[in-house]
Amino acid sequence: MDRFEPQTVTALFVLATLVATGPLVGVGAFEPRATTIGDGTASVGGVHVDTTQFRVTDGRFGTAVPYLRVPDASVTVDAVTGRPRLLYQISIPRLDASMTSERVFSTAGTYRLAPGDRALEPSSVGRERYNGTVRITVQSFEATETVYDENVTVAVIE
Amino acid sequence: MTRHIDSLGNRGRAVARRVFGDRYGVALWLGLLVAVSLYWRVGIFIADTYTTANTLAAVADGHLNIVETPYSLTLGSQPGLHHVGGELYGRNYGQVALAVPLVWTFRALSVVAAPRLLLLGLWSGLALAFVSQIGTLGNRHTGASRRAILLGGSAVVAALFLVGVSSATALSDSALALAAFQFSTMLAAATTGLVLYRLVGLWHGRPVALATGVAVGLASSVGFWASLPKRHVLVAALLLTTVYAFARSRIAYRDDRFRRALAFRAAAYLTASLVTWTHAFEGFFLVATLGVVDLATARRNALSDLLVVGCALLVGSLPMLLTNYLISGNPAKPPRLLPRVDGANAEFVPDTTFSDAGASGGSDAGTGGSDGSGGSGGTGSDGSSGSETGGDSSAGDTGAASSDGIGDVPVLGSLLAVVDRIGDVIGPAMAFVPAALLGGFESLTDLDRMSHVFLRSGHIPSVRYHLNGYAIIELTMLESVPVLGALAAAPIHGVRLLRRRASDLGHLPSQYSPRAQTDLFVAALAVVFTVIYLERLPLYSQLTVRYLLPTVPLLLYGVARLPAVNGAARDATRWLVGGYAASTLGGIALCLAAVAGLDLALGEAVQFHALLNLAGAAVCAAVVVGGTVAPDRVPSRVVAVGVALPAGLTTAFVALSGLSYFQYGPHALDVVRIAVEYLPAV
Repeated sequence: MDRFEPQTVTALFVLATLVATGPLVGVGAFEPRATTIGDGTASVGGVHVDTTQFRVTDGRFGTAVPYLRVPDASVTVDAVTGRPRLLYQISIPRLDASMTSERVFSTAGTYRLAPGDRALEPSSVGRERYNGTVRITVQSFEATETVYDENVTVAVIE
Repeated sequence: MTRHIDSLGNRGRAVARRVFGDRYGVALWLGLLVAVSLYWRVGIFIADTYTTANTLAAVADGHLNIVETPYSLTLGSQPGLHHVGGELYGRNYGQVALAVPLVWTFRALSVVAAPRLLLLGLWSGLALAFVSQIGTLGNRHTGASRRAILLGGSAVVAALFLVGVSSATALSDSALALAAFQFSTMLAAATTGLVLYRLVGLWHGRPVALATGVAVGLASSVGFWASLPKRHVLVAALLLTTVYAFARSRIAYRDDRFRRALAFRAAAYLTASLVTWTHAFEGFFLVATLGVVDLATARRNALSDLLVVGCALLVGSLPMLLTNYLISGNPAKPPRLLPRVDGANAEFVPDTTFSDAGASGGSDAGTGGSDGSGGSGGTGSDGSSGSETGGDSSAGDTGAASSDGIGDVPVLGSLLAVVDRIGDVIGPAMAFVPAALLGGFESLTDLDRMSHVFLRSGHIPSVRYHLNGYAIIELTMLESVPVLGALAAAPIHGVRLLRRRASDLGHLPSQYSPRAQTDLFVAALAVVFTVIYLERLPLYSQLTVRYLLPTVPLLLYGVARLPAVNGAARDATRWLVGGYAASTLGGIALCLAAVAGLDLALGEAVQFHALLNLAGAAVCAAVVVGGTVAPDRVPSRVVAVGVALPAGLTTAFVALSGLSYFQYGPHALDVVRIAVEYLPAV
């Protein structure tokens, strides 16, 4: 069998890359990107949350539990230093529900924060509407800045 | 020198042939590993894994007791932790032992390569090995140039590797043991596919065997659990290997090769008894079922045969007995029978409630844990600490035995004490076995409950959903493996067989054909491994009725054995492959569209898949029953597509669950992480 088959060459290349970027040889050029929160600041240009989209509706496809459905938040970051994180927090005290979505970022751009939907105990939903709070913060080890803080009404739709 | 290398190469090829059968087996095994790695997330999916992962970290460091808990912050969040004499122990030591060499390998390699790139490099290596197999096979079947396939495949892997390197995110060293644990389960899943391929290949052609191997890996709940380090996939692999060894021994008996038959027979007992190291009671039921069917169907049961079989049984049980002895001082008392730190559990073990396992358990364990981590010097003396300071009945027995006067002969005395302690466990265990079976059969009459285990889940009344945040994600067997709908034709086929072979019934089982004997064994195992768990089902955190997972490869074997199915896979292979590909892609597209368009929550998405899978199961059942009743009027390509449909839908569910729905940790491969960001999320 030919010793220099394409897959053998590729395998040798993979091995060489692993060793070259590894801790033993590591020339320092390679550093896997950290995904955890660090120091840093960010300037936020705009925040969008569709506050009409906070609802409780019945689960479909046989799930037979009510779901607290919340909209995604969209945050436009104009400038960033370091590695702060965006934190989207929703709290509906009377439903005993708090939801969060977070994202560590290091470049400017528009970020979507999606906490998803939350299943509720079937017997816990008794009213027609619930009050809640929504807050979006930029956090880092240096500072915490609230960029969005609103009260919302959650409509229960039968 | 060259000759030496050549002979080494030949020997390697001979071993590979013995393990994998042929190049197709190698390609299947590698392909399954490459595929299940794509939806591998490094993280803990089910809380029980905290305990087993911490156990693995402990064993990899050279001791059985848990002194550090790298995989959780508090002891409270570790269901399945046991304590003896102030020491904490995990469970599933056999499963853990399998992963220990991998932990060592991963840790050693992390000296030269960054952990994240280690996983990427591992995947790339597997993918390249797969490409090299596909080069030859692709050339054989499609006429494409081997060189072109190798070049194309290598280029794709190289590109993915480079993207992976340039987008690599940090992975901490401490995640490596967990990653190794997950990889050991993936090896078990791929091996299940391989063994099923070889087992079905004993009776049917390669297309049928390959399709079944792929189906168990990618179109069944085995695929769902492939990178989730629970015991079930490993037990499934060992159970299936037992069946394979059994089948080979029956073939050898038919060919009058008695030595060979005995060797395979011993292998069957060895793999069966190894299950006890991971779960003593599943192992017991496997060995017992094997014992009954084996003795009834073996051509020869001379004393020397039974001696060999007994030795195999002993050797296979030895790791379990030794581990138990080191932990509790009682070889017959597996960790699951020891007092639990966390009382609430639906464990499948005899009820041997020891007096001290009650109220004070929780607080005792807490202090025990902190003591242990304080003095890490005394980790070598696990065994003695178990029997010296154990507050349970085993310690009491030691005292009783020595005061009986047998203590004059120390060795004999302690041996008798051990036997006495074994007796303590055997009693409740012997009562437990018939109770589990009877309870299971009794459950069969509760049709409502059984429909929630086997047919349709939805919101099951008896399941404590509040424990998992009301996620309605506990599927039934048919919803998780809808291709089992084909088994609707099994009774029809069975009745036909009985009618046609009525004369055979007069023969002794030892005179049956090896195939019939193997079918019998598979059926017995499927019944036993279903019935013993029925009393506990339906249950939370099962997702795909995981307690019944070991039966899935057996049931798929049953599907492949149906003449309508294996005939279709043989005669209409292209329709089967094309139908599977179309169904997989169509299923993924449809479900993603539903997630995005209907804004589905997790439970809704899973139930959407469940309903879709049930529809696929119904189609599958209809065509296979049709193909069985009227083979002349239902063309094999229709049967092939009908079987491929639910298989593809299952692959869609398995893939989307791993890629998108369940987010319990970062994706192992950054390439996948980047791609998944574009998918709609639940």
